Amino acid sequence: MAEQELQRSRPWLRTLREDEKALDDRASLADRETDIDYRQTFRIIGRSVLFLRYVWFRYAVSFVSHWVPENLALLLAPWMGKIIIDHVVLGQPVEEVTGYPPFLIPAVQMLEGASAGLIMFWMALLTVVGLLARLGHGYVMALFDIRIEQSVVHLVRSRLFESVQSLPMTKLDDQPIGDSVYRVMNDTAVIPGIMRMVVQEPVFAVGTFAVALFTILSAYPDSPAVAFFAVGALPLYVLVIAPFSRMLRRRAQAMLASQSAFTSNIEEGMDNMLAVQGLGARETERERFRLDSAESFKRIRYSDLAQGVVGTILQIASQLLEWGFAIFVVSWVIFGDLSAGDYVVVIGYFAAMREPAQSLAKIWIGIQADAARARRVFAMLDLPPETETGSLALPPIEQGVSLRQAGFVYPDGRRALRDVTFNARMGQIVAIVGPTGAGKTTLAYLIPRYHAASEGQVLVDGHDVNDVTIESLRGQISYVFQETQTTVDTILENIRLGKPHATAEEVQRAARTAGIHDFIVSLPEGYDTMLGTSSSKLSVGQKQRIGIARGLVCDSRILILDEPTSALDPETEGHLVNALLEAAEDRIVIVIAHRLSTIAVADHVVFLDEGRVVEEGTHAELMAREDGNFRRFVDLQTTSTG
Amino acid sequence: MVCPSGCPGRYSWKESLLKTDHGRDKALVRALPYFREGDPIPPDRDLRVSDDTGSIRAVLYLLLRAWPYIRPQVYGRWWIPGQGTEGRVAEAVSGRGYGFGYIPLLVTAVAIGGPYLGHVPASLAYPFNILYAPIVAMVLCAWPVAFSTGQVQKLFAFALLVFGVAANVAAATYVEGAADGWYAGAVTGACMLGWILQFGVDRSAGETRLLCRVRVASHMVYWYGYVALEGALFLVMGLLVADLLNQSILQADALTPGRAELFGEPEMSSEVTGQLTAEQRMALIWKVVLIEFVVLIPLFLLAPLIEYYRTWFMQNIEQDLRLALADRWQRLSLRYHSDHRTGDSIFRVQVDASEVRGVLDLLMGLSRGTVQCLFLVILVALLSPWLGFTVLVSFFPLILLAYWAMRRFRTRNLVMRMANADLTSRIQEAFRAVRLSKAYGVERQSQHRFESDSLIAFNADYRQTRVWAVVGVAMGLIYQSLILCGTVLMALWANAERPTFANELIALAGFSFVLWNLAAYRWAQEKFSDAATRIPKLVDAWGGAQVMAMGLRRAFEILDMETEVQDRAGALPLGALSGGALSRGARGGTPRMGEVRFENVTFAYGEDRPVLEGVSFAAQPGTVTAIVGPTGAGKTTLTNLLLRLYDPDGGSIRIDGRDLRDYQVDSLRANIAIALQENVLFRLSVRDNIRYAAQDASDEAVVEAIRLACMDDFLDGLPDGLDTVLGDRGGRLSTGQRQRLSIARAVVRDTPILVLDEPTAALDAETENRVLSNLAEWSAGHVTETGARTAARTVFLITHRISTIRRADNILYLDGGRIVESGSHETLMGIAGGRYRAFVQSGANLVDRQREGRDGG
Repeated sequence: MAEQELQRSRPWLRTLREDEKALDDRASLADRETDIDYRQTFRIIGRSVLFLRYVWFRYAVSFVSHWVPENLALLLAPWMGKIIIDHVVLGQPVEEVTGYPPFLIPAVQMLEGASAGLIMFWMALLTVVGLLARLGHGYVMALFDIRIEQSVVHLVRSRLFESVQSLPMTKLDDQPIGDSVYRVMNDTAVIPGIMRMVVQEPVFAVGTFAVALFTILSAYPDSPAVAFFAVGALPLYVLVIAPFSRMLRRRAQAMLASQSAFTSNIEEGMDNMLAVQGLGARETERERFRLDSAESFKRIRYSDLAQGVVGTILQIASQLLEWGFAIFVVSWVIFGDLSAGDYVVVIGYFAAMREPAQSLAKIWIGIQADAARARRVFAMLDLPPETETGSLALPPIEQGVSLRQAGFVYPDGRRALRDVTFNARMGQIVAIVGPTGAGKTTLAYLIPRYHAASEGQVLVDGHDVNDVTIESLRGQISYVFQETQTTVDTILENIRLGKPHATAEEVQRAARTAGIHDFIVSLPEGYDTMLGTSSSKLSVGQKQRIGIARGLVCDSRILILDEPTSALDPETEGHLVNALLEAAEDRIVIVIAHRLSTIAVADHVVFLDEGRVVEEGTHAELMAREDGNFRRFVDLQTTSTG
Repeated sequence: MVCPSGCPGRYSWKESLLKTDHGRDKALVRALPYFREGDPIPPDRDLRVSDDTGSIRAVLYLLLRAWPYIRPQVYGRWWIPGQGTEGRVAEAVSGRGYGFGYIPLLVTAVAIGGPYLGHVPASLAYPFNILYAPIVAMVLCAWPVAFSTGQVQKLFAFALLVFGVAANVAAATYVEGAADGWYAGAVTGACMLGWILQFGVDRSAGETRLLCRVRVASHMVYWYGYVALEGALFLVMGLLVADLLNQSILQADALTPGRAELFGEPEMSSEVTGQLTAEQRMALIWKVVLIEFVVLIPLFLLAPLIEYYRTWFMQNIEQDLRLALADRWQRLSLRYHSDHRTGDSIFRVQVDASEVRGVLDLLMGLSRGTVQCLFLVILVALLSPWLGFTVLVSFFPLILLAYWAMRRFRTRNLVMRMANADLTSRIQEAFRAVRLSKAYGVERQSQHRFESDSLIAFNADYRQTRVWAVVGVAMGLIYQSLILCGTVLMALWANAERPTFANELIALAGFSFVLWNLAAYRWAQEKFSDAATRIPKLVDAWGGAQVMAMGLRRAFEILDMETEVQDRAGALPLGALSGGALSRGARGGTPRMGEVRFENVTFAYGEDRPVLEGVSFAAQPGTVTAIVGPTGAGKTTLTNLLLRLYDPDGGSIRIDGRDLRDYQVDSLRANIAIALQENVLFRLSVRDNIRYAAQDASDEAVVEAIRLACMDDFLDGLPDGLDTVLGDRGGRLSTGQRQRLSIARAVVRDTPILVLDEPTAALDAETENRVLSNLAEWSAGHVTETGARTAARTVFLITHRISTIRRADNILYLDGGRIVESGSHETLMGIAGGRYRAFVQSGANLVDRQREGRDGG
């Protein structure tokens, strides 16, 4: 509420917020609700800490073993100094010196009568033993601790990776690759930090505080005011910095969004270097890179500045407190019972108590930025994956596919398909034809349920695709995309991607059918040629053929080809069409095509325009309609081909 | 408000927790061992210690290579009154006709003025000899700095810097009081003034004019200046306050007369009273708070701003390196890019390059730490050379340790960087192909690969940590034993009350440690421990330098890569050759040039993959050349060569009679527009995608391009029309739509040469027809509204579609990297048994045969 009023009264704040909102959208459209309130912040912190349930035992071991030796060393080291100075440097006999705490007296008594050299020897020996123990302990703990953190991060990032991979197709356009990379690589690393800040540091802080409080109360039992000052510090700090929590989170979120947008920028620019150089867009790309990089730097500065300002406020509050306390103690020295020496001691203990209170407040400041980071992890984990709506394992497809009044609306409200009905029987070739942008690909996506139909039904062998498991459905469908992607792997692995155990013969047969075998064997490494990242080693036509071979090798019941021949020369196309005819004998082939040569072989043609089925039937039937859309469509091609 | 009842399309946190598969989570957590090294890193991604090529020199060289990026923040820029700030980085000292001859006089005057006016005592007795020696050296250096140039000047400037630091340190530490501090500061300031304010004489315009320039934006210098000032301020305040508090407030001692005057409390002066009253003491504590308030609160308030400033100029350093990297990548040929992984580039830019920021701090910290450590050791050695000797002895294990550790730091760190870069690449590649993974059900395989790469990255990190832990243990052993040795020796000497070494010298320095006693023990023990504790810090810093150097090495690796396609010395801009007629926007009656000629061009991607062999042809402006042939015949390679994405291995490509290599690459590409076969779109608005390669295209030009590419119909359907931002990789558009956008992008550049690589493959026949007619009209040159005729263009078409090919003036039939046939459609169809004829007929036959076959059946 206060923030809204501020925004009204301060236009620059509104501009800042608008810029940050725009950054959020640029970073990722899949995750736009970036603003979180207190409750959600605590929930995110809680969920981060909950990962402890897998490592709690190791965590406890580490915790205790840090806590005990460090305090043991703190407890013993000053007394050793005393022994050296009193009995070695000053040479006083052990019997005459008092002032050791009771638990040390037996140990000190053992030194009675020893010469200075002998005492020094024992002290040196003790130091060496302690040193070795501490170093050994430090070595073991360093490695033990890093493994705990790594285990947690490995869990979180594997989960995150999985969850991005299982996003539904419709979400993928909204989720830039660079953003996902940034989340998996960078954001996940924050979880162990939150765990440490929430679990360990407060305990340390409270422990230090309690020890100091106890000491000062036992030394000055009649002056509880000292303790009040120190104890009062904490609520004061909380009061002072609490109003800034949301501001800190927002600046941190904007910083992360700009970083991820910059990652996307590099990712996009590098992955499309062919376009950048080919289009002569070096200047454009350089400028885009410069701006995004500068923006990410700026947001880092803003976030740091926000933290710095809150830190300053905390520091000023703490300084005011110290001044107040100093004046109080000084007046006590002047008018009361404290000596000048007591002043130093009391102020020292006060500082010791103020420190943990301040560090607790600093944890709160720091955790806001971390919560913003962790939010990005959980937001992605919480995006529902492609939901498994059915539990039925689809038996091998025998009959065919039918769509009943199926429609599809994109999440943003654009309608792609309306009232589509058609049947495809086993053994048929069905061609989906229509002008660009008619919704052909969307229609094809409904069958393997890449898109779930918004209305109507998609039936395979009479089973609604929503009722069967995704694995059993997609396992029987091979989909050859319009724009073929290759993975960074050998050609062989690329072709048998969907059937990893396919034999070399199967792969070669598919490659021959797709008309790419001769090219592959002409390569120096043949089928073992690695396809590079930007895959500029292959022309689009060659990639398309690899894609087709990939679809063929799977030997699925349903083969869907999305414009398979657009980049092929007529000869190869001829081979391919023949292969399709052959393949169609015991499966369903669904082809999206513009080319007459491909359409002509279809048993059934579905003509789509603006998301509706305008005409359907066999090629001959449709051609028979004098002023039919399909006829016009075909005529245009044949006349120009002439 | 933040979605009150759970966001739509998102799990609630409870659902998320419930759906978690605990068994799998546990398996993931246990994938890494609790303590041990884990699975070995695959040999091809690992480095052995023997692979290390680093050395002290190599590391220092890498660190110093960061200097060009740091330099602008040190030297700053010149501000010239009336002209504003120059863009270029300022000279180190002076140059370009500007100098500072006034400085030696000024420095001399200030140096003499101090003692002459009695501001500082004109005495050469200790400690003033320590103050005056560097001051005199500064005066002596100021003259050659002002009146020499080049290396000599830099040398003396450096000497001046060293003496300046020495003088200020001496003033701050050895000489009591503030006056000498001001004096040393004034001399230093006088020297700095010459660096900041310089004068020159301009005689060019006939009359003699005095010019001056001021150095601004030397951020690093300002920063270190601020740090020094802040330190001095704290020191002064601390001294003042501590004295006041301990003596006067807590113990009621009267103030010195000077202090009393300073605080405006003459009645508290020791001349007036011996003891302060309680009220006076209470009044003083308020004074203390007031002093602290006046000093601390502004400093506190300033702190975040100063930090912001520091971050800002540090980021400038990093930004310069990032830009250098991006620039180099964009100049590297595609031969390099086809084997380079995208995630690796991301990692180099974001992680490796960031090391450049810390270089200066690290080097300064290292040198300061070394000097301080040596200083402490020497101090202690004055009490007993044996202590110095123990430090010397400890150097042997230190050197051995460093030799063992530094190589491991380097290799382990490099392996870790490589592993993380690989992991980044793995993620990027997996997400890029996620649709494919879905379609072929290989998500699990991809997940498995990710997890194994993630483990490798963690194991690499673990191995690095282990080296650091080992070094930590060894360092601890060395320096703690050193402290122990020292303590034992000193304690025993103090016990025996041995005389100290060089007690004369010690007395000279103001200490009275003639015998080893408690005071000597305490003092020496503290200094000795301090010196010993600095050693592991130095080793840590040096280890950090190895890590930094490895990051820089990965960044500089890219910068060291020779760009294959480079501008020759004296390369011309393409437009200049034809008298500006080729340059964009030059319209008029004269036809534009743009004749393209390939002469016997040979090219291979790798040694054993020849793509083009002896290709020769010519294309005239105003004509359309179709490049036809089976897939993989080398069609796209042809256009890539024209764009100089690669250079041919043999033969030459000429535009207007000049070899491509005679033109500047940028100007060449600015004159060729291409619609790529792969429709690469960016996550920008439709408008910005169209203007991607022609930033300055007017709105009319964009509208015209949209008309030519027949984009109007689908633009209307987009939510924000031209301003609709496309999804990742142009998602949300169909392939046909993207293809047309790609054409519009090429057309909007209005270049004399246009290449369309399979431009219409995904378009339906009707749209294709419209687009091609538009393009044909456009490329032939048309009459503009002003009546001028636009120039004709040279157009290349790569296509399989016979309907498209027929429109071409000239057809090149390419097969196996050679031009098999060339000529017009009619000519080629006339060759009996010709390849082109067969090609066309196979297309037509396919249609007929299949139509007949199906219709009949």
